[in-house]
Amino acid sequence: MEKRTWKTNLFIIAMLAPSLLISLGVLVYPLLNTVVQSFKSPDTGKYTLENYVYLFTDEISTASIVYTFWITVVTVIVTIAISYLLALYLRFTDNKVSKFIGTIYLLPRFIPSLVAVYAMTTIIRDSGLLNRISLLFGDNFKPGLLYNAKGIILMNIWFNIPFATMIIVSALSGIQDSIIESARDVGANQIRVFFSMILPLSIKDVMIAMTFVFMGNISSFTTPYLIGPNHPLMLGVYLRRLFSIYHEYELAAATSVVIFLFSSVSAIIYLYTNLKEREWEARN
Amino acid sequence: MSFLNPKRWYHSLGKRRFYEALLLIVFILFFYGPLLYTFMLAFANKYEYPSIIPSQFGFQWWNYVLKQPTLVKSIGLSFEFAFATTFISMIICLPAAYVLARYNFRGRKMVMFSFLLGNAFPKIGIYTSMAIVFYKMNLMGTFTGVLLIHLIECMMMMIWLPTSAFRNVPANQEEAARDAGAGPLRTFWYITLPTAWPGIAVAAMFAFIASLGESTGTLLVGLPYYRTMTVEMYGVILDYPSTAGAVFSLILIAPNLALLLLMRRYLGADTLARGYKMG
Amino acid sequence: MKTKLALLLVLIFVVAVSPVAAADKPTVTLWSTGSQNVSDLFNNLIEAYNARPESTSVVKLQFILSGTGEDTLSSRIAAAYKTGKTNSGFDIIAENSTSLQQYIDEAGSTDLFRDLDFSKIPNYQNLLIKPSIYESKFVPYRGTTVVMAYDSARLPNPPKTWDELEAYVQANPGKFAYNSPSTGGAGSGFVRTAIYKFLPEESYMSNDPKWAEQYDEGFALLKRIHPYLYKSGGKVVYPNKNQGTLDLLINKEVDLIPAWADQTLSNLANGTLPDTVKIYQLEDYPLGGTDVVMAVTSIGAEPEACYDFINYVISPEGQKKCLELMYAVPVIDISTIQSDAAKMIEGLDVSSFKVFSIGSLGDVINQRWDREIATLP
Repeated sequence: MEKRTWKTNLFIIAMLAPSLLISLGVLVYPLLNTVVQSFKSPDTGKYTLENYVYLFTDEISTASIVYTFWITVVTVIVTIAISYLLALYLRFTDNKVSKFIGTIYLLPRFIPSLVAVYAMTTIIRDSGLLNRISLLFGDNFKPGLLYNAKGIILMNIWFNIPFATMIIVSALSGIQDSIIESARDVGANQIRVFFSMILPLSIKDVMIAMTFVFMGNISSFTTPYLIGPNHPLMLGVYLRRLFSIYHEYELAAATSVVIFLFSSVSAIIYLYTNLKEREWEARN
Repeated sequence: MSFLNPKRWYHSLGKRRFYEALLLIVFILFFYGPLLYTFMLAFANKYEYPSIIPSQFGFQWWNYVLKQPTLVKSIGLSFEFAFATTFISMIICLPAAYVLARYNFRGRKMVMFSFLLGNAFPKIGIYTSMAIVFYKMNLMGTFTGVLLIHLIECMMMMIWLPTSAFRNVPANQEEAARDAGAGPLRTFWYITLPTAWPGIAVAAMFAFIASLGESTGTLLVGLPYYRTMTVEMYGVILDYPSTAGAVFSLILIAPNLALLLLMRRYLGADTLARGYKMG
Repeated sequence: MKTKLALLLVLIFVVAVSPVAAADKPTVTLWSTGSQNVSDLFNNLIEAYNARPESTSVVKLQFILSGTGEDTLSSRIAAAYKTGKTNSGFDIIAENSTSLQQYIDEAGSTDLFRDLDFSKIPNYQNLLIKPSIYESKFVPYRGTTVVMAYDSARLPNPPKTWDELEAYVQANPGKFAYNSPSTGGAGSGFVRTAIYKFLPEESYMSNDPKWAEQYDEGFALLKRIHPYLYKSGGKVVYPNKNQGTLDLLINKEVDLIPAWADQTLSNLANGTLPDTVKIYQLEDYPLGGTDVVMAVTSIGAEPEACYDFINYVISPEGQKKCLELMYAVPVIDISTIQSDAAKMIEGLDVSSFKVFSIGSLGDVINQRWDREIATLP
């Protein structure tokens, strides 16, 4: 790093200040307050671990934690698997169909979640479009997807596949055709090319996609609230219930910290993959 | 019904084309089926189980929606917030993005990372303490208060994406302009900004869409004077049967769709993906 | 924490509510919460009222839609009361009488609402009912109740009593559903009645925690019917929100549900519910209803400015709007209202509504339901 004058340093600080002030004031400071609050007893106001003890011993909240974690992990795995295949297809196929899908696959990313859940509900509910179509064929097919984990996961992958595909496509498009061709020339088959070149070159972006899919789903509210079961609840719904129906603010704070810790694990993995890169020096 | 027989298609199209057609059909049905179905429901006056096509089409629910004075007003307000959010977030975030792209300093990664942190913490959990901060600054129930909520919604995108866009502007181009006698501001305006523009435009679009879609925080801070379209619609969609909700859904989607069309030139996976990477 | 929050809410309100000055007539702000149809009603009433030349005030509406933070309103008003504010911008509150009890509880004093001078509300003498609580302060303007809604095409003879209902549910698995009580009044009306039908009459209007010890029989009933309720994916589910069960009825997945009378009738009128759907009330223990009242706060405008609008709402003209716009049960003699909608609410008599005023025991029931019923396999 070259030596900079105080003028340059001042310039950097001045340029960063507005956005950092907003982020610190509106986000980080309340966030720290919430963490502090999560260690307070609702009755005495003294510092205690009782909120956390409750969360990890109470039958309903432990069920929620396990359930949320499980749904999120399944969502991440299914989303990434499908997205990777779709991205491979979009990257290495060049015809009308792939071009067409390539132009329209992103749209669901920009649909407000309530609208999408609502639209999907009208299709998959036991009296929805699928059921109505099956009646035409003399069958009475009830998908049974509403109010359970299957429905939530289905909805989650609807939201996240476009996003994850986009991240992976961008990584794959960074791999030049010539590299792959030369590998093929020396006799590597498709599977070898994939495992020795494509996967390693895109794994970092897969991690990025995983991080965001994980973070977005561990605290999701709209989807599980509308089509999730009454028990166990996903943590986002449980948190909202603690907050606005039971008015247990300390417990709600502790629940958010737990969700945050889950998110942090994925964020740290993300940070780690990012810190390893030494791109900065290479570029400048 | 023999044309429905997959085997027939399999043989006439060939293996590869068959699977491709299958992929296309599944893709369209899964991702677009629900949206198209909603589109149809929005124009249904009468739709009873178990019919698939509504027995009566019409504009019953559109009439209802457009007669709601508060709803129409809320649409205008939503756009005011969206424009303000986009504009102000650019003023606040672009300078930060620029120095993050051009200078390496201690804590740079931490600064970048701090914007991700906000996304990791569930917002509802910090609302009480957020409200305390807002009240201290006299921001409850004010336009500025709601604007701040919308700003933090889009800040990560507004920093990360332009940072990577600025980094892709070759430093020697800027230097050349400076050598030719252009001042730093002129250089930024005529050289840096146009080159980085696609990334900035996409970030701006995200900010706009994020602002239009924000509801929980707007409710908390804006109540009761600032009720945006999303706030109004959410209650209505939840309180009304499917045909009515479909109309509201379409109204909520419409601006996003229009923006996507408008920006489609810039919307490559490459540009977008940069918004999720710490440059 | 409680005091900190209260303090916070005071200040929220101070900033949020700045009275709007009117040109010549005094301005009165009416606050209300509820579903979209309540908002439609007041918009319409206020528009008509403000347009009349003889009206003596200008009314403004501040409406908070259910599920969008309506529970903060009582805290804000209580906070304003405790700081001794006047002219706070909270002038008239239109709410269920049982909810207003909660406002009073939070403010810690019945003086939050003024004693009204009924001589200045001439139409008051035409009211058929008295409010269920605080007769000197509340003016009922409409009634609403949870009823049973059923599809007569598939269920010609719905069960008339609780015993018949239990027998029906067990004989017809999957054909009955109620929404989870913390997500909507229809479900909680059903659950409360199921519990309180085993309790003495005096408990209906009491928030004494001792009654919670007698909930076991009611919960046993809810547990008994649980396995026979609506199923999806092989598991019993309780839809979220009032609209959730109505959707099941609309889509012919169930035949019988508890639902708000006004919401059901509105859905019938706009054609989303098939016209074979009918409503009725259980005979032995009717599902909970409530009178919806207007009250004038002691922290708002001069009461004289409020009387004229209240008088308008309970006039035949105002009551006709309530009836036609949201199928509310009128609080005056229905024969004074000329309306086709009158026959829709036949058999619903506001004076016979069963009203529960159990305060925070409602939360106790919801929490216990979440713990004991929602978790059943």
